[in-house]
This record gives sequence, structure tokens and C-alpha cells, in this order.
Amino acid sequence: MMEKILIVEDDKAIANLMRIAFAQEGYAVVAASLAREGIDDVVKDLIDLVILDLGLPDADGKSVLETIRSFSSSLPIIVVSARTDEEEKVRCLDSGANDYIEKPFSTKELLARVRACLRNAKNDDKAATVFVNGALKIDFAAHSVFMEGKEIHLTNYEYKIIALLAQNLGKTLTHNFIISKVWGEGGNDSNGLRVFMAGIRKKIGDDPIRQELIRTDIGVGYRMNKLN
Amino acid sequence: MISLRISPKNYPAWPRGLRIVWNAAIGLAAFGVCTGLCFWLDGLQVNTLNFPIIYVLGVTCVAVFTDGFLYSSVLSLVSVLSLNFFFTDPRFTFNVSDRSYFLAFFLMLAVGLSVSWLTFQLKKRMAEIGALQAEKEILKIDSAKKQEKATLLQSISHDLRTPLTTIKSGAQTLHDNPDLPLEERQEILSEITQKSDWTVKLVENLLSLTRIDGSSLTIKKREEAAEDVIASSVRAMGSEFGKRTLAYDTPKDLLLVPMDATLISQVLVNILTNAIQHTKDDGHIGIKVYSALGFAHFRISNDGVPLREADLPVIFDLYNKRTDRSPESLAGLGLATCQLIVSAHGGAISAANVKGQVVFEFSLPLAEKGK
Repeated sequence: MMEKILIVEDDKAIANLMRIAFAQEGYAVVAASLAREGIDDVVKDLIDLVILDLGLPDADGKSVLETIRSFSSSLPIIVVSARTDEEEKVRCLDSGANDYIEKPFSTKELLARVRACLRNAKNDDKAATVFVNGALKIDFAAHSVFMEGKEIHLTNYEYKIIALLAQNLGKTLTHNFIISKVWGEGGNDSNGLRVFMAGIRKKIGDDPIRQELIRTDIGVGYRMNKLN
Repeated sequence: MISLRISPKNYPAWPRGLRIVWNAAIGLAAFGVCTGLCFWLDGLQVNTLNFPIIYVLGVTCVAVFTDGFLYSSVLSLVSVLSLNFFFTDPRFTFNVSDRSYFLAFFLMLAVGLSVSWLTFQLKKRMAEIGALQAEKEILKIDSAKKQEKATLLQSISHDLRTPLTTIKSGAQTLHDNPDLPLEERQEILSEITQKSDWTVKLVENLLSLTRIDGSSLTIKKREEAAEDVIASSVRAMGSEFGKRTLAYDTPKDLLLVPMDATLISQVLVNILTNAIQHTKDDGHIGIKVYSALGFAHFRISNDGVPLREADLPVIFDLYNKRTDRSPESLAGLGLATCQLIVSAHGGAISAANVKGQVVFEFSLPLAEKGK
């Protein structure tokens, strides 16, 4: 079945370009230029993913995000904004956005994010006991991590962090989210987390500059990339 | 024209008490010199009629070199009494043998007081003129700054117009000629993409500049890992490196540096963009990070065309007149933005040719000021 994407964007040119790009990839597209219309569409239609622009004329994009989250916790939402502001990114991710993309973006990047988001929504099978991503393998039942078949010895916290990132493959997790899940609210700070991340990268051999497996979004958080 | 060197300054560093002593010393010295001179001339049988003039000269000097007109006025009065006591008959008494002396004394006092008052007024005016001139200087600097801003905006607008022309005419050509051969369509489209990327970069730089408060040059710092900021800028460059090799050398232990990461990424992107422009397609670019003496150092080197010695002193100037300015360079804004950002962080930036390598290096303080 065709997956349906809702574009909530008031700029006609951008909405149009996104519509063309999505249609080319074989997605069905619904477009709304106002926040009110967008929420209506989510309620009435069977939407698989929402592209939400933050600068809508009739409402703050964040309130749309919160409204949608109030009745649907699993619908993937990708926020689009013209402002390069880490704090705004963190706010959006913490209030339930699955991903965040900045204007001006390339169509290629947008499509990649959409694919990752949809795949995550489908694979939301937390019961899976073995996770495989490129050379990385995690056995959730045995709490063990392997790189290219070789077991990597991680500390308890390191394991919790990498398992959390793996369970949210392709999604940026904010510092606060990771800290609250791993240590409990206020159990550590961003600098402490950074030190743990550096340790994990070293142990699994992920280049700290290329960041192929675990990527840092400065001022926002970390995400595990989907590898082939 | 009055060419007397009258200082409008009032020895501001001196405390009030010391100033009074200094002024009184000048007054006493003038009195001593005048009286001594008169005694000496008297000994040479010079007519005492000349003496009042000598005293008036002394009063004038005191009026010029002391504050206000009190000291010179007092000296005028003391001079009359001294003339009366020492040099009019009967000598060494305040008695006067000839009543016409009274007129002379009165005139002498009047001239002395007038000179004091006039000199005081003149000094006041000179000080006012000095203040006015200082104000004019400030206005002049202000208008120079305004001019600089206007020039900057003009240059930016001009530099934006060039890529926008390509984008606009390219899109129009594609729109008006649906039958254009595929190869030409591709060429126009890649031009449009390139020019829009360039425009985005220019706008990012302008945004960076607005993130720094113009007057106080303050920024919001937060500790970030040096490797993360390098990773983020290398990622932002996307495929621009082409076939060039990129080598890293980062410290073994995590190096946390207080910074505005968006701005420092911008610095790295600008320097890397510059490096790509000046290296061959298969050139080498290196990034090294190390910490020394309380600073984190970022060293970006490439094996491309050496910098021209003549360009080095102006390389970080806004809209500099570099000899090699190509239309692809970031409009003289890129490196200037780097310098502004780095100095707002309390660091320093430099560019040099070192052993066949072009090296850009900047430093950021590891400890936050005031902490």
C-alpha cells in the first residue's frame, strides 16, 4: 500500500517541490497550508508521516506538534524550520518530533529522513532480541554488543546508551532524553554524557570525526545512523 | 594669532591639595624672580619707573601657568605692596612721599587684575574649543563607521546579485526552452545548484555576524567536544571535498572547549572552503587539534597555492583587496567572519605559508573568562 505523507507548509513553492519529490518516490501526498487544516487532515485521513513547517501563519508549529501528539503518540513527524537554533531543535524533539530538518534543505536529504522515519515506525518491534546495523550487532537478551562478530566489552551505562540509540535507529535523541532514560532525571549532565559517548566510540571503533555509526548533533544530542 | 602654548589640561591626575601647593609655588617663584630682578636693576641705577612693567610681566606668567585667576590677582596686589615697600621713597616703609605714586599703584593693580581676568577667560575658551574638537573627532569616526557599513552592504548586495543572476536566468532558460538538449539542461541545473549553495553560504556568514553582539562582541559559550565541531563542519561541507584527502589528528582524550559551536563550525567551514578553492582536485587537507598553554588550537593546512605575501596583512579584513579574489571566494566575507568570531571568543587567528603548506590556525581559550 502507498504510504501517505501530509505536508503542512504555507509556502506554495516549497510545498509544491516537496509534493513532486514525494510523488516521484511513490508516496501519496496530502498538502495543507494552515495549522488547522493540517490537524483536520491528521484526524480524518490515514496519514503515515507528517512534514510540519514551524512558521505557519495561523498557529505556532510547536502547538500543532503538541496537538497531534495529544491523540497520536506514534505518528512520525518531521519538523522543518528556517531557524538554525539548537534550543528550538531540542524543544521540538523533546515535545515529540521524530526528526528535524533545516531550510534550505536538499530534496535528497529530506527523502532520506522520510525513509528513515517510516522504516522506524514500521520496525517499532521492541520485542526483537537481536539488532543488526552494518557491522554492529546487539543481543538485547544477553546484554552483549558485537562489532564484526567480535564481542565488545562495555560498561553497564555504555551498554544502556548504545541500546537506547539502537532502539531509536535514525532518530536524534536529545541529551536530556538519553540522561533521563539511562541515569534517571538529573542523574548526569551533558559533559558526563559526552565522556561516555567518546568512550563508546573508541570501543566500537567509530571514527570520532566521520561519525559513521553514532553522529553528534551539536547542542542537540546523538543519533545512530542506519548502515548497510 | 595667539601662539602662547596655553594648556587646557588641568593636571587631572593631581590631587587638589598638591595643585594648590604647585600654584602657590609658581606665584611665589614669580614674585621672587621679579623682586630680585628689580633689586639688581636698582643696583645698576635703572629708573624705578620700569619696575611695575616687570611685575605685570610676572603676573601674566602666573596667570598663564596657574589654575583660575586667584593666584595672579593676589600677585598683582602683592606686587603693588612690594613696589611700595622696596622701591618707592621712603624705602622699606609703606609710606609714600609723592601722592602721584598712588595713581601709579592703582593703574598697576588695574592692569594686573585685567591681565589675570583676560588670561583666565582665554584659557576657558581654549578648553571649550578643545572639547568641541574632540567631539568633532568622535562624530568623524561615527560617520566613517556608517560609511564602512554602507560599503559592506553594497558589496554584499553586489556579490549576491551575481549568483542570483545565474539562478534566475538559468531557471528562465529552462522554462522557456523545453526542447533544450539534455546535456545543456544538466549544465544549467548544476550551475543553479552551485550558485544557490554559494548564496546559502554567504547568508550563513551574515547570520553568524548577527549572532555576535556588535558593540560588546559577546557570545554564548558552552563546552563542546572539539572532535564534534570538526565532524559537524566536515559534514556540512558535504561532497565539496571531491577527491581531496582529508587527514585528522585529534587528541586522544576528549577535549572540551567552551564555544558557540554554530559559530566555530562556521569558522571551520570558511577555512575549509578556502582550502578547497586553492588546492588541486587531488590535493591534501589536514586538520589538527591540540591543547597548549590554556588554549585549544585548531590547525588547518593544505598543499595548495601558497598565500601571496602581499595578501597576508589584509587577509582577514572585511572586503579586502586580495590580489587573488575570485568570484567563487566568499566575497571577502568568509575570513573576516572567521576573525570576528575567533576574537569574540577571546582567541586569535593567523594565516601563513609554512614549509610548502598553507596553514590557517586559530586558538580558543579553554577557561572561560570571569570563572
